[in-house]
Amino acid sequence: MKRFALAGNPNCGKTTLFNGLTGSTAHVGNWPGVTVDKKTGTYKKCPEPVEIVDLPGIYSLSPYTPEEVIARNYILDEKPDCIINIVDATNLERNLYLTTQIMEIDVPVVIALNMMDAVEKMGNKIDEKTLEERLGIPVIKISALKETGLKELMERAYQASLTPRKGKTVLESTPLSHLIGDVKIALKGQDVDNPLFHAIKLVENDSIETEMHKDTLPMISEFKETFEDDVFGDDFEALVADARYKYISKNFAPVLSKKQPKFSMTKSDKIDRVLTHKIWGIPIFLAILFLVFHLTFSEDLLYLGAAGVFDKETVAYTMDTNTLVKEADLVEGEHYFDEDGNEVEAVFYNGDFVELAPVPFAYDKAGNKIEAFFDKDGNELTVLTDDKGELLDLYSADGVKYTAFYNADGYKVDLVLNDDGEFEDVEFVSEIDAFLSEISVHTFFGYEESVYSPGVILFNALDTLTGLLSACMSEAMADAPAWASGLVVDGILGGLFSVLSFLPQILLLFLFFSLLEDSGYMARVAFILDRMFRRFGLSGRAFMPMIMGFGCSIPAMTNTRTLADKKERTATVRVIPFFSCSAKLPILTAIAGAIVTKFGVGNADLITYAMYLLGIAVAIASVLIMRSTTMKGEVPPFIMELPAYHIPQFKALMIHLYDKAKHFIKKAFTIILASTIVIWFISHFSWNWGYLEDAEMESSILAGIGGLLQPLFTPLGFGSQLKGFGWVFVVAAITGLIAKENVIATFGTLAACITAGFEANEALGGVDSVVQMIAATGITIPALIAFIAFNMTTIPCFAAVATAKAELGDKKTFRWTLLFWVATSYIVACMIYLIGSWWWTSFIFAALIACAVTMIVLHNKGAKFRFKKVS
Amino acid sequence: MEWLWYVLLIGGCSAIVVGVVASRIIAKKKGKPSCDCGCSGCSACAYCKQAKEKKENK
Repeated sequence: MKRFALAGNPNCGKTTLFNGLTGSTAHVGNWPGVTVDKKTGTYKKCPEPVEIVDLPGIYSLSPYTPEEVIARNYILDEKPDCIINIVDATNLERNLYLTTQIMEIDVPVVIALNMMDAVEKMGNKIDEKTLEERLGIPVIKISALKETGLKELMERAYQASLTPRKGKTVLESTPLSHLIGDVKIALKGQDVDNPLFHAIKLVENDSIETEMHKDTLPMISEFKETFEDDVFGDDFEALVADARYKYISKNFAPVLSKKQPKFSMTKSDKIDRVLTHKIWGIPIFLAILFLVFHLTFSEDLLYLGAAGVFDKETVAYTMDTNTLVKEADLVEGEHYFDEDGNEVEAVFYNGDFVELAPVPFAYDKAGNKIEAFFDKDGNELTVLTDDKGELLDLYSADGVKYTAFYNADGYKVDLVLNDDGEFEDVEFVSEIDAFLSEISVHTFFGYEESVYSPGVILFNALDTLTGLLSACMSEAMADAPAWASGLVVDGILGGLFSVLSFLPQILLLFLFFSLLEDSGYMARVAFILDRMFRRFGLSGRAFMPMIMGFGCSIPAMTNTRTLADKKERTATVRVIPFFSCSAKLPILTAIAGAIVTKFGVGNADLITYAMYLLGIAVAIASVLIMRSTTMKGEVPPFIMELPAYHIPQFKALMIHLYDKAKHFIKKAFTIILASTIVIWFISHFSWNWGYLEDAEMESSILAGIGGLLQPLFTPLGFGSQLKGFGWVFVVAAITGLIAKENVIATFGTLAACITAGFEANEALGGVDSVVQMIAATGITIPALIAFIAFNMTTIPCFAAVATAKAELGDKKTFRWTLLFWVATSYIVACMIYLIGSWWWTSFIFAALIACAVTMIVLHNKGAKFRFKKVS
Repeated sequence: MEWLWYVLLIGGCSAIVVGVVASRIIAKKKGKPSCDCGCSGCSACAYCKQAKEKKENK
């Protein structure tokens, strides 16, 4: 099978072309450095199948970063049958710089002039025939995005691959040609492959080449001594680069005819004047980030509810005279008619009006309200039971015997009687009916008090569906033993659904991030943050892997290969888990929901946003400490080409979301499902393998393990102070090490059992029961926030730990990294809990931080002083 | 009939847990560790890269 390699500058559309040719769904993004490793796929429309290899983007064949080395090594060592050099036609001159180097290798090359649609849109033209003649290699116009010209490109590439090609250089007519010729002859004598390419690189003093051809170096130095240049002196790298650019601008640039020769600002430039503004750039980024969180998590869209848009005064009507009564005049316990004419009771709490609660009535099958019950003889009954407490046969005033009772909505109900046998309430016969009666349009959209954000609407929809499934399963298992329905409904479904309910919000958040990334804005954010990051010891380049960490830490850690400095890489890998990944989202949202619902504090979107910012703040502080102590080093210069803004590709967005959804669901039905089963079993069996009822869970194996570790977490607020419930938080945090979704899955599995002892355990559904459980444990708000912070900053999931090990290289750095994660999470969570609970402890922490900073500064100054003294 | 519940649930749950754990162990031994990053085996992550390298070395 033939092999064609796709090579080109970063962000020129290689992966888009790769996806177009192979039908793959590899990640594409509108910023340089998305691809950090080679990818392979197959193109089947040539006379024989062709393996397509997508390489990381490179500006030249003299690499600096690890992923550039991958591209260069593949081109030189793997000897593909043809190189398809993708050239961004909107940046022709700069892209051809790499072309002039690829041409020097003894391999067939074709040029794909990509983004021709954008060139034509600007009104420019490229004479590809002339370019082809001057380069001496085939040039084909394509648009990888619109998939035009791909067939012709592959036909020409296939034809080219059938004939061997000798390398050719544009430096032939320059003063360097003799020097290059001499080195080439020397290398040929040593039987070196691609002698022309290696000769030029040796002349350039390329570090990899000088390492590879150490024996030849003295001879080359002799050759070089005969060469003199007034401008560049002995800087041969600059000399060669200058010669290449001069040749390109003289011979190739004229093939481009521009419509507007005079300078004018492009749309991207105009947008950048606002979005990358020196002062407003960062506030705009924070505002955009907040908007994303608001649209995903807010239960009060645009704060319309808080602004009072939906406020209305409660009114009722007296039952005897039907006179209007305002909220302030309602009397506790009194019965009224509401606006729809239904009988209601005024409910108060601590003297304050709460609501007009419907007064329960039973209805007959025809939907008539039953005002009174009668016996067979027509006597009105107030006590509906006989001497043994059994329900009597009840009749209507007309003497018709009731065989069943219904509520106002027509659902079958049982009568609920008080201890005296008097009618008090009705209860649903079917759990499904009970569940369905709770669903209304307000459940999804919440427009009575506020309007929900799109994320909350989607969340409610899925939560309702999973709740219905739980109710159906509960009903189906009505005859099963209690332990069996407990395992299936409360254990497995409770745990699984409490995680799965978050899928819509995760996808929506991802959609927004993908929109920002594909539009080209995220690349700007890296540029905006460079100035700030530089002060902390990182370059703006490190921001791209960090922002990828919002999705998943694993590809983010891999992406650190784009960072040239090893210490910068290590520091970035260590802080990536602090950028809360999608698996941590259920923890944030469920606990934010618990804080809002049970404590009535703040808005869920604000809490979630603040926790994300806390993660970023911890990352910055950690980097600052590392770069001032163990990871000292110069911040490498940050040069990144800002891609033009464009409307994100619908297909690419959908691919992102599909991949994310597939991954999440796969994980839920494998590792999380298995974990919930194990958790249920070890929470329902004691150490002597006796089965435990829900209320006896404190004697379980799980409670035993959690209880053992519980004191460790006391300074963090979720340890011994929670008495019988501290172990719940401890085991949730531990199961989170397998996969972070497990934290909420564990809560979901244990929820029904924990809340059983507190209040009537209604069919609440996954997340609601988690919220109820959190409140039932008696945990405080600072401890809850400390719990989130601990999970956000502690050791990430197993898969991320394995990636960190692979990316960090040596074992010592890896071990320190594990220790760093444990220490950071413990200190941060401890600070949050103590300051949140006792504000004055902030002075103690401030003093400790001041001491630490002083020690670091003095140590660094001392080191400088010692260094000066020695030197 | 309670024995049927025991067989169905205990057996089913054991099968799921053993299946998940075993599939991971087997995949690791075969040099195809499961990828958790959602990269669709595109070798953008350390797992896929290691798997690919092992396959190539064989």
